[in-house]
Formats: sequence, C-alpha cells, structure tokens
Amino acid sequence: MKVEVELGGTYIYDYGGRLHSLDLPEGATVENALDALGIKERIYIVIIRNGKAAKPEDELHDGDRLVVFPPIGGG
Amino acid sequence: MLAERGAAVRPISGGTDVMVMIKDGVLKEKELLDLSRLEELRYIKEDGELIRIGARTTYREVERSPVINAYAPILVEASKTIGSVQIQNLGTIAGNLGNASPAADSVPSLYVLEARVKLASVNSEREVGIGEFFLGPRKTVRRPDELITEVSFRKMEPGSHFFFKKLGLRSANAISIVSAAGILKLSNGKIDWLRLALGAVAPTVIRSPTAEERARGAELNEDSIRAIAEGASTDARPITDIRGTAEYRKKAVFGLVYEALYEIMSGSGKRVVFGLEGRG
Amino acid sequence: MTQETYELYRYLNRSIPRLDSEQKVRGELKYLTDVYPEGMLHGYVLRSTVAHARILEISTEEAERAPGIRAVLTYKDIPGINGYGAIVPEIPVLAYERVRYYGEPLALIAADSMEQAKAAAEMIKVRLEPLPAVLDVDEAMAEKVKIHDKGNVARHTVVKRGDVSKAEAQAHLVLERTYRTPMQKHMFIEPEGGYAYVDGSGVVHVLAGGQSPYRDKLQISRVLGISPEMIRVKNYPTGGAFGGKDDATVQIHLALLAYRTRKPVRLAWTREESGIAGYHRTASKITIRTAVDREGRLLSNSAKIVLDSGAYQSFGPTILDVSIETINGPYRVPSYLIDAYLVYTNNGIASAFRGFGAPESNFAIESMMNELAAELGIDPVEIRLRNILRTGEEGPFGNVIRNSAGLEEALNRARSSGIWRRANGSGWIKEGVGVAVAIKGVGFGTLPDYPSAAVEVIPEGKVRVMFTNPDYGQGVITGIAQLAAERLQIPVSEIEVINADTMHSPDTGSSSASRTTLTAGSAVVQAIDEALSKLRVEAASSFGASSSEVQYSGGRFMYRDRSVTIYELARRLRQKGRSLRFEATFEVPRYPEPVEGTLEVPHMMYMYGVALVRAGVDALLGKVNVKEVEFYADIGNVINPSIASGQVEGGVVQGLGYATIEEYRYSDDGRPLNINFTTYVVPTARDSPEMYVEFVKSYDELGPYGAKGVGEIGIIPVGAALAEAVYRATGKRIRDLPITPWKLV
Ligand SMILES: Cc1cc2nc3c(=O)[nH]c(=O)nc-3n(C[C@H](O)[C@H](O)[C@H](O)COP(=O)(O)OP(=O)(O)OC[C@H]3O[C@@H](n4cnc5c(N)ncnc54)[C@H](O)[C@@H]3O)c2cc1C
Repeated sequence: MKVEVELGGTYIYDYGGRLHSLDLPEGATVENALDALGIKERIYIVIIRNGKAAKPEDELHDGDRLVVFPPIGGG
Repeated sequence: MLAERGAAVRPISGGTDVMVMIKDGVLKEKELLDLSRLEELRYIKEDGELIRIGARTTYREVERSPVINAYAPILVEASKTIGSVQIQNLGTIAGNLGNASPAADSVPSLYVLEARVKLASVNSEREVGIGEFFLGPRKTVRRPDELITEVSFRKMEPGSHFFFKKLGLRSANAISIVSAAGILKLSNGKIDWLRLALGAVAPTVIRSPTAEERARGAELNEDSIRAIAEGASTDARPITDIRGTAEYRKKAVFGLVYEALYEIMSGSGKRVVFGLEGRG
Repeated sequence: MTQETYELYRYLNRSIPRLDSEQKVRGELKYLTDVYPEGMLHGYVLRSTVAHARILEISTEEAERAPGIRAVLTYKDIPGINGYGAIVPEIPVLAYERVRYYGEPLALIAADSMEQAKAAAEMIKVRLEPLPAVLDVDEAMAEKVKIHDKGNVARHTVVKRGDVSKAEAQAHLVLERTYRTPMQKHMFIEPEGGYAYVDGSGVVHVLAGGQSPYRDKLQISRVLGISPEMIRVKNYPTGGAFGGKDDATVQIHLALLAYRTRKPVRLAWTREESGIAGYHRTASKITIRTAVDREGRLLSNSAKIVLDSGAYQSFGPTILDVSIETINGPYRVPSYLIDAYLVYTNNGIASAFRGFGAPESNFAIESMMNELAAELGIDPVEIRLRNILRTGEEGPFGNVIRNSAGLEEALNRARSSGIWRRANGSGWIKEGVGVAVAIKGVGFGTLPDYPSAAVEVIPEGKVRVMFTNPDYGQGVITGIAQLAAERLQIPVSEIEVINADTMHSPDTGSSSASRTTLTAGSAVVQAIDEALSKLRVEAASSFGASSSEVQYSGGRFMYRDRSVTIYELARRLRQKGRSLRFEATFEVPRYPEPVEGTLEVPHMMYMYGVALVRAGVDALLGKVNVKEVEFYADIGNVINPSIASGQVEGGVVQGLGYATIEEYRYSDDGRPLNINFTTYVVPTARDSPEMYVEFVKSYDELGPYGAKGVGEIGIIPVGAALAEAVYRATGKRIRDLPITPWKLV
C-alpha cells in the first residue's frame, strides 16, 4: 500500500527532505513507516494521520497521509 | 539586651532594610530587637528653635507633619522620594541613618539641616553631628549598646530656598545613582550662603566645600550656577557600580545641582515660608 | 463570515472581565507554588558556582546519609536520557562532565525539610577544574575556548535572494550600522516552581507553572524513560511566563524526585535562583547594510545576525529563524543576504521571550529605516508607506501577503496623530517623537501544527471547554470562552474552561508565538461544530425530522414549534451511555516548505503594529522620560478589547524597560550580577507613560472569527521608536539598548 509522509521541523533536514512516498506491506503500522524513514524517536515526536493524532502502533491503510515532526515549537 | 550582648543583636524598626538583609542572608546578628512598639520614640516636636524627630517616626508621618512642612520642608521633599508609599509607611529616618548607605535619601537633607543624632544606652546618652555619625558604607559611630533615639536640627530660615534632587533609574523604588540636597540663602540676588550635600558619590554622604565656597557672596546667575555645579562635581568621588559609572555620576552631580539652582534662579524653585511650604 | 458582520457578535468585541480576575484580585487564586501537599518532601537543586569547568568529581555518599534525606540524585541516577531542550535535547538535566554556566544543576535533593536539604547539599563533594568563561559572542566565534566539542556556533543559517552587490552598486545610498540588544529577564511574578507526586497507579503528576504541558510531558518522558501515558502535566494557573517557561524549568527535576521517592515533592525556585538559572532573552549583535534609491525605496538588505544562545540551545534555532524573518521588516526587499549565527557562550541559557527574536531584529531594521529617512530627508512614516508590502504582493520569503490593509491604515493613523505636535521640550529637557513598525508571525510558521481541543456538554447546564495553552495571565481562558460562547450562542457564564491539563484535554500545544487564539480558538470552534452536528442528529431524531430541517439558536435546536436544549440532549445521550465529549483537531494553515536552512520561515499570518513614542531627555542627566506612547495595531478581529489593549500596554512597558533600564549582566568570570528585583530593575506603574492603543479594523479569515493574535506585538517596535525619539530630541543615535543615562551625556 501507498502512504504519503510529510516531515516537519528538523526532520526535513535529518531525514532527507519534506515529502516521502512509502510503499508498505498490508498491515503495516505507523511504526513501520517511521522505521522506513530511519526515524528512531518514539517519544518526542508528533504523528498526525489524516489530520488526527496517531500512535506508532496504529495500523496504516492505503492512501493514508502522515505528518511527522518533533514537537519543537517556535515563535 | 543591647547592654548585655549588643554586638549580637540587630535593632529593627520599620524593617525595610533589615528584612531585605535577612532575605539576602547577609545579616550577621542572630537576634533582633524590635523597636516597633516604642511609641515614646514616635514624635515630631517643636522645641524653640529646634525640631526633634523621634527614632520611630516614619517618612509618612514626616510628610504629613505641619511642623516639618513649615520649618523643614526639605525633609518632606526627601521623604516623598523614598521607595514607594508602602516603604514610606514603614520606613524611618533613624533606620535610614542606621543602615548607613551612601545613597540614603533622607541623609543629604539632614546634612544641610546640620542635624544632630542622639544615641542612648542604658546608662548614657550622647549627641553627635550628622557629619561625624557616619564612618563609611554601613559603618557608624553607634556602639552596640546604643540606640538612635532622636534626630534634631534647627528650623530652616524663613525665605531660604531649598531642594532635594534624586536621580534613579525609575520613578519609584529606585536606589539613587546620585542625589543632592541644598539650602540657599539669597539676599538681593546674591547668595549669602549655600549648604550642599551629595549622596551616592562617596563612602558617606558628603558636603561639597568647593560648591559652598564658590557660592558665598556670588550673584545667582548662569555663570555662578555653572561654577557651583562644577565645584560639586569636583568634590564628588564616586565609584562605578551596576547603577552607573563613576564618570557618569560626576556629570550627573553637575546636572542635578545645575538644574536645582537654575530653578531657584528662575523662580520655580521651592522656598521656606513659615506656616506653609511655598513656591518662589 | 466577513468583516461586515462585525457588529452582530454577541460575545465578541466585548470587554468582559477576565474569568479569573475576581479570584486574583481577592488573592484567592493559588498558583501551583502556593500548594504545599500533605507529607511532601522539599526539593532542592545544588548548582554550579562557576561558569565553565570540567567536572572531576561529584560524590554524594555523605549527603545521602544525612538526616532527613530521601534522595540525592546526580546524572548517574537518570533512568532515561540526560538531556532536554525544546529543539535539541542537549541541555543536561544534571551536569555531566562539564559545567557550562553559573547555576547549572549538579545534583537534586529531596528532604523532609529545606534546612536538611541545604545541609546535605553542603556535604556533596564537588571538584571542578575551572575553564575560562566565554561571555562575548565575538570571543566565542574565535573558537579559542570551545564550550561544546562541536564548536561554539550552534547554528548558522544563510538565506538570500537576488544580487545584493548589484543592488548596492545602483543604489543612491547604502548605510551600514551595527545594533546591539541586551539579555532581558522575564521577571514574572511567580518564579519557576510547583509540585509532583506519583499516584496509586504509578502515574507521575507534575503540577508546575509552564507554557506547554504536552511538550513538558514528552520531555519528562524522555528523561524518566517511561511512557508519556504514565505522566500528567498541569500548568494552570501560572503566574506569568513571557516565554521563560516555554521550555522545561522545574518539571523534569520534580518528576525525577517524585519518581524516585514515591512521595509528593515541592520544588520552587527562589527569586534569586530564577535570576541565576532561569532563562533570558538572547542578546543580539546585528550588522545591517541597506541600500535605497533616491526616494527611499529599499533595493537590498544584508545582515549579519549574531544571537547569544548561552550555554545550550533551548529555542535558539527557531528564535534565530524569527530574527531572520524579521530583519526584512514588512517591506518589499528585492534582494537580501542574511547570514545568521546562534552562538554558544557561558551566559546562562537564552530561550523564548515575548517576541522571540523579533524585538532583536526589529531594533536593527527599524532603527535603520529611521536612519535612512533622516539621511534622505524623508518623513519616517512616509518612508515606511513607500516600502510596505501590499495585499497580493510576494513577501521576501516567497510568502504572498494576504492582508496588509491593516498596516497601511495603522501607518496612516500614525501619520495624522497629534503626538508629532506635542513634542515641546524646553531648557535642558529636549523632546522628540519616534516611530517604528512591527511585524510578527502568529503561530509556528512552516512548522506543522495540529492543535486539538475538546468540549463536553454537561446536562446540568454547562459546556466544558478543554485546551492546553496555559493561561499565565494573558486572559486566554476568557478569550476562548468568549469564542465558545459565540459559537454556541450561549452566555459566557455557561462556559467552563479546563486549562492546561494533559489529564483532561487533548494537545492544543503551547501558549507561545501569539498562537493561542488561532490554535485553541479554532480547535475549540471546530470541536463545538462537531458537538452541534452530533447533537443535531439526536435532536432531529427526537423531532422525527431530518437534521437539515432542524434549526439551532441560543443553545437550542428547533423544529416547527418544538425545541430542545443542548443540555436536555446531553442528558438523553448520557442515559444512552453515549459520550458527551467531542474533540477536534485543527490544521493550522501554513506554507508547506520552509525557506531553505530554516525551520519555520515564513509565516502565513502576521500581526502588525506601529508605535509612536514621545520622550523627553534631560540633556544634563541623560535621563529619558517617556511621556506618551501611541500604538496602532492590526491584530485581526478583536475578541476582548480590554484584554487585547492590556496585552499591548504590557508589551509596551516591557519594551520600554528593555529599551531604557533592563540589562541582565554577568561578571567577568560569568557570575550573574542582577538576579532579583533589587538589582534587576524593571519599570513600575509610575514609569508607565500615557498610552493610547487603537486596533485598526481587520479581519483575517484564517483565524477564528477573523482573529489573529496579540501577545507579542506590543514589545517589538518600542526600542527603535524610542531610540528615534531620543535622536530627534538630542541628535544622538543610540544603537545599543538599553538607552541608559550614561550613553547620553
Ligand atoms: C522597596 C524598597 C525601596 C527603598 N527605597 C529607598 C529609597 O528610595 N531611598 C532610601 O534612602 N532608602 C530606600 N529603601 C531603604 C529603607 O527603606 C530605608 O533605609 C529606611 O529608612 C529604613 O528604615 P527602617 O525603619 O525600615 O529601618 P530598619 O530596616 O528597621 O533598619 C535599618 C537599619 O537601621 C538600624 N536601626 C533602625 N532603627 C534603629 C535605631 N533606633 N537605633 C539603632 N539602629 C537602628 C537597624 O539595625 C538596621 O541596621 C528602600 C527599601 C525598600 C525595601
């Protein structure tokens, strides 16, 4: 299945750009998507799936859109 | 208590200095002697040519006293600049003396009033002139077994001009960067005499002999004002600290004295009028 | 909804009193540091008394055995990672190997009494090998002494467009100036503090003043090495923050001590501790070179920005971004080159402070605009009108200006103000009027931001509104309650707010970046819409009608001659065992791609302000006396005019302090010098000038009911406007704040 990931904040620089298209096996979770991107952080991280907060263990579906970023805050 | 172990006891009056010292952990003494109930030391008395202020009298009481307003309005001027209303309600002149800060704001006025400080112990009493009372920052001639009981001075001369000017970084609760108090007697546009004291420019408040000398007999005009103010600046021996540099303090002394005398010259300064404080 | 419906609001544009003001005025409201939990331990932090050193030894054996001691913790006792920091977790929770600022925490103690805690602290054996303290950014950039192994430049960002040298070659005038601004302390009324405990199910509760409960929670989680679900953070009420509680302060230490001892622990910094170890505003040194044509139109702008981050980064990287975004002002700048550095020194830790890098850069660009106007003989308001971006134009960072009408109007109001004619010094008092313009983004710019909020309809007649942006005195619970009342068309008295508690509310994010109205406001409005749509279905079915036939007004659904209140519907839902709680997540509009090298440039929503300052200068004493300030601002639709003006006025006074007397300083060996209200002097009520605040009519469709934000706009332009007033009065240009008397004589 296809999952679109948008990275934000420092992740854009740390993990190779803002937009990523992932091809993941059926039954994959958010965690698998993070692994695929090389993101190790599991605590200091915000994951938004289709506009709502999600957790690493949540299952993904084809066409899901993830926004992943550290909760860094600015001004 | 003071007689027995004076050196280990700290008198506390309004507490506006002592409490800060306690909080900062710089108070050496272990015991406090609370003076706040000593009602008999809470007075402002007219005694012939003299005015006597008891050690427990607060700034607020000084400001509101008809006697002080009539005969020593310079002290009203000074009291109003101390801290804020809250501080004026609690703080006392005796505490200002006891604290012995070179920036104490009632002290320059007491210098030009040529005040005397009464010190009493269980079995003795003495009076010292204000100039001899201070030895340096936080140092006075008070012995551990003595209390300050009274400050007294002669009434100001009717018609004399006076000022207290203080420069702080803000309008309330500001420690003086420099201050100046002056009393001036004029006749026919000539200065009979000037008494000028400066705060925060030396280890203690000082009189300015150079300025006073230059004033004696001089016409009050822009040239003499400049010369007097420069004299005051010369006499100042300030230090640099977080509130200002030494160089700046010298300039500020000039500015304060110049402005104060200029105001007197131009008729907008303050003047002693018996019975009420009046303008020019 | 559009601007024209303005007058129709029932609960907006109204100055209702703050919901917690009565409690505050009566002194009944308890800050979290006012709470002394039963059976609590006293937390204490042993701090470094040198600015820079290698740690040779920290031994706690003796202290651990001291009477009343329940825990003594050093870096060795940290279960998770020994690091925190909003952006990079590089700030040691407890010092490890090196000490990089005076006041850095070395050990934590929990004891039965504070005396015992302090006595035990004395018994901790600390051996430090002093290293030279680096206190100046230029010295730090010379890299002779390395504060961090990777070097002293924490971050370096270059942003450019067009050909600056070509523009300069064609320019009528090129000016180069260096401007400096000082470190500023927040001096909030309540120093950092609070308490923590572990409940029966092992959840660690941390109740402490703060600005960002969910971020605090995640930071604690990283350090404790336990799941965020096992941590609760509550930040309401907090006694002031101004950015100084945006990153973690006591929260992690509190959690560590409670987690270790399993007892309630209180940890509250004294004022002096706050002075030593609390955050402060970045000092800045900005060299700016600006080219203009004969008419004063900007051709290019180049700037070297250096911000002093102190020993670690905290919010430094995004503060640097905002300083970059601000250096071009709200102006049309065809070409620019911005070379920006965030530099380590041994000066404490710089972090967020109202304006977040904007006041620093604003002082440079707005002083430059005033200098250019003077050089060219152009009126200072006019030169700005010639340069401001208009709606539809592309801004310097590729952002399209959506709505600039407010700034233009504010400038026109400023131009016709009577203040210009009121400058009338005499004798040694010289008077002048100065102007400066401010622009500040609302929210986090290009950083993704998904605030969530919840509402719960309570059958007994209340609607509970839950969001996490803490109200630390800005009045946000009141503003959000007004927005909720407006959406629900019910009186504000029927709204109950639960604020800044991760146990009750989803994550709405922090109170920072003037973002609360936009984020919490929008998320709450959305959650209310969610609630109303669910309740509508319920109402429709009870009426035997379809949802679209049902009308809603004033807290009731109506169909023909029948009606039912939201509370009655909630009662029925409760009977059916259905949830009365409705959540929504708002996606904050943003440009997708940050400007290369930055994290958050540009913003999509901006507030604007124009400050006019009339000041008298005593030419003999150098003393500046600010007589009058007029402030024209575009903050979008104004929810509560009195709270909004209060924010501007407070910002202005804080800006005047920054511009005239405030300056946090260190001794030559890196010891902070002014750490309490006696030595760090802030303006008093008596120093406040006459103030006039006017909000120009404005409506931003991206914000809830057209509202933007207001918290930061007041402070930003004050420094430059005052410096210009002083110049007009005395002919002296002060390019380094604060404008202390000794700089003027
Ligand atoms: C917020 C604030 C603002 C202030 N602003 C100013 C200001 O603008 N100008 C200024 O000059 N000062 C200022 N002060 C300092 C202080 O208020 C004054 O020095 C005041 O006069 C102290 O009086 P007190 O009665 O409170 O003294 P206390 O604090 O009670 O005592 C001060 C000292 O005097 C000694 N003492 C007091 N009474 C006697 C006595 N009868 N015999 C012997 N020793 C005695 C005490 O032992 C102590 O050493 C300020 C203080 C605060 C806290």
